[in-house]
Amino acid sequence: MISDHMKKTILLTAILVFLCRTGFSQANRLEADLERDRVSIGNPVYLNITFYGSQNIKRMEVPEVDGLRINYVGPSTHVSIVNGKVSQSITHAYLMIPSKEGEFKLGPFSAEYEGKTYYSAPVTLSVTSGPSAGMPAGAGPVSPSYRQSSYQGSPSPAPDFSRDRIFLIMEVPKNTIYVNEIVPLTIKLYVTNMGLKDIVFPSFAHEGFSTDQWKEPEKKQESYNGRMYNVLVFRKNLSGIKEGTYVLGPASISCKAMVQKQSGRRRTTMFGRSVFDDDFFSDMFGGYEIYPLELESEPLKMDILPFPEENKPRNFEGAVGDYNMDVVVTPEKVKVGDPITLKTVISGLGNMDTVTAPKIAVTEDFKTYEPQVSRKDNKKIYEQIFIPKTDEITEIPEVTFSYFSTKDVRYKTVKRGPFPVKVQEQPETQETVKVVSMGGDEQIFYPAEKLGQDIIYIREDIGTLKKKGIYIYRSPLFRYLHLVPLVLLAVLYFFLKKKEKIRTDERYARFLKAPRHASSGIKKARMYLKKNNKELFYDTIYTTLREYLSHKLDIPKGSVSPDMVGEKLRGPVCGDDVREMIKDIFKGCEMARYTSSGVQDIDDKDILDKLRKVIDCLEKVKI
Amino acid sequence: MTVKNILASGIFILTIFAFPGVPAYADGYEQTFLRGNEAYMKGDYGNAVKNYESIIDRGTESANIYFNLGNAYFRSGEPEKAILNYERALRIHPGDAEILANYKFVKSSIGGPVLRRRGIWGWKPLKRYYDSFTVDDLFFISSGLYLTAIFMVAFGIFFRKFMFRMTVVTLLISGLLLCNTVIAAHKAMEIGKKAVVIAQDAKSRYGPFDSATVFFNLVRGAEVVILQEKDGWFKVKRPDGKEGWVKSGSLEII
Repeated sequence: MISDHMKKTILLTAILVFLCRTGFSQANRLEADLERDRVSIGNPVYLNITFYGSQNIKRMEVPEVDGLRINYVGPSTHVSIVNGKVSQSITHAYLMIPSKEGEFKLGPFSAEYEGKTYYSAPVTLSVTSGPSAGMPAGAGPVSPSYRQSSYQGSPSPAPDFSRDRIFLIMEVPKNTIYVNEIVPLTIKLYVTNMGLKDIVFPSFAHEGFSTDQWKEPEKKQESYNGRMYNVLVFRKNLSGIKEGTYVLGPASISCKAMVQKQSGRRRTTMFGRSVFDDDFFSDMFGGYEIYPLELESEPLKMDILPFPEENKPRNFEGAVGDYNMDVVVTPEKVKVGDPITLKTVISGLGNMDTVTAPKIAVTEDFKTYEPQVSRKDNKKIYEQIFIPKTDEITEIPEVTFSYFSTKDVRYKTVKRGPFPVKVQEQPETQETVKVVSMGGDEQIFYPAEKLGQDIIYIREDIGTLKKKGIYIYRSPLFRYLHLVPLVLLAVLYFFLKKKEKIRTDERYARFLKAPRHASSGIKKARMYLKKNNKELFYDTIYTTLREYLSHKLDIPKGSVSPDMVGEKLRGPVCGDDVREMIKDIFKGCEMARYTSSGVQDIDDKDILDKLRKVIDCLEKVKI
Repeated sequence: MTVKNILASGIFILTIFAFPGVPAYADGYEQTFLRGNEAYMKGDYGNAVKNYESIIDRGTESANIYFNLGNAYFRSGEPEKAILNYERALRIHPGDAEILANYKFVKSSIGGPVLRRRGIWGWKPLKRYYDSFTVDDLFFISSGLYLTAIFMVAFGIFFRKFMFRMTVVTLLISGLLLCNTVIAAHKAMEIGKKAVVIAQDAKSRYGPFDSATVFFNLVRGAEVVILQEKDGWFKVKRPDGKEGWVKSGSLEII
């Protein structure tokens, strides 16, 4: 006979194998939808956010909305195979209970999958003050300690969820405890005449307490106020962290009630097949209506007392409970320098987390190491190594452990030992001599030296003084100096780049050297003017201008003429006055060079001045 | 003024700005230090401690002052304070063999567990490197690697045919630079956070209050790193990674 669990495993494995073979063909998308888009105040409604394409999507954050109480219900996954195509999805369900009339826009919601963000369309919920269509008539809150809602919009009248049919109780054996004391907490879910499923572990506020894991829930039947109930019991331990008065809870639990339809054929079971099983086949037969419920217990007032100061042992370190201590020393006979292990086992009932290593008044005659701790059920085991330094040791000192007994309400100290040990002098080893090799065959044997130990003597000089708290790396100058090499590197880079351009681009090279050549030409011309050598002066002026314009405008030297230059400089580049000045210089030079009388009529300084102005102007504009 | 003179003046000014804090006149300190040595030689360790500490209280320090102060404390029966001062001396001269020898001797005389640092910082070669340099030394090493990397890039730009080789070398140097800078930054972050337990049997608790459960005991002379401070309590971390709350008076910052 194959069990249900086995069947499920086989089915899941078959699906996984099939998935691996066929792959997933479905496009990924995120969708949000409401169970109903119109409800009345106080009536719950489900919001389902479904991601198609993967089941590995975490719950989405739904922001708080004024007028809506939103609780996350849980995920449900879905795999379907249609015509060999596999699709899978995960739906995160949220239960919303409106408390205000109006229109609520929820979303768009987003989910991340494989580095991509998917968005859903927003949904709108209309909340009215009157009853909404599709809701059971009596689905409002019955008791302040729990709420209920219809999940499937059944047209039948809402069942009875009154206090005597289903309720939650939170219990502790005592309301006053000491710091670190463990107290068992029990939360009981009582139910009669209905089935429950999808029960989640209870949650409750526990400020001032630390808690451990939930134990396996227990099912039983119990009589309460003369009526028999099916009871689901949740247990966990609490321990007080800090003294004071605190409120524990209220505890809340969510589940789904399965109520038989009036025309249904199946009988309601106690908690379905198992307390946490899903209803794998239940929907196939119908006959039940599902109602999500949220139950709340009454809170508990708790007092956490501090440890009494009276008779508090010196070595008390917060251990609470009732303990026993066993100590074993092995070996009892050792040589100086050999380790002795002291194994201490503290066992009993109480908060084992508060149990610390027992105290041992170790003398200077031992070298000790930090005890190694291990834990097993209600036992804490400490193993500590003691290395005797001398053979005068006769015992391992007494071991003491103090704790606060909550049973007797007083401190208790457990003492064991001292433990007799026999320590012998370490025998001389064979390596008591050193062999020092000498040249030839001769060898000298020195006995092993016994070296004394002490601190090295003080220093005579004060050393290099520095101011306290001063570090060079914190100096701003030290940081900024690191920018200098970077700047130099950038300068070098641009310098080399420019050099490369000059080398490879002849036009650019000529363009760059034009002003330098012109400047030296002007200097030369000025010198000839000083010497009153008019012929050379005009020759120089002419050559300088022709060369400058040839380099600057990238035209052959022989083609430089006032007309051509005028043509090149036409437009917004230069004003008419520059073109006129160029014409004047060329004209003046030609007159001076080719007519002997012409030189008398020309103003030499004016020509030189015009040349300078032309060059200055052309250097300022971008050609 | 020649170029040489200008360069010399520049270097002098840079030195003044880059290396602040070297007292120009240390005669007063020298005399106090010698008085401390004299007291130590006479066996008057209390007076020796006073003299050495008076120099430090004036905002000046040197590895030798801390070394002698550690010795004086050890002789006066306060080994935890000796450890504290050897640690301070090692902060200034990390590789000094004599300081290390005294530190280890005093440490072994106190006893207590030998806790190894956990994680990557407990890796022996890294720890040796970490402990061999001051934080300034480490940053200088980073600066040197940085300059070398820049030089390699410049060389590659200038001599194109070496570009590939220079790129490989620069990448290697950049890796070293990154590792060294991380180590230096870690060391810099520990300044003012490392402390030595000076109280006898300091208890480290789960919370910053007296009734909190004791997590572990700290022997005097143990080294911890301070993580947080709250209402007269320090949250500390032992070298083996255990963390707990200790009263601030139980510790002294290195």
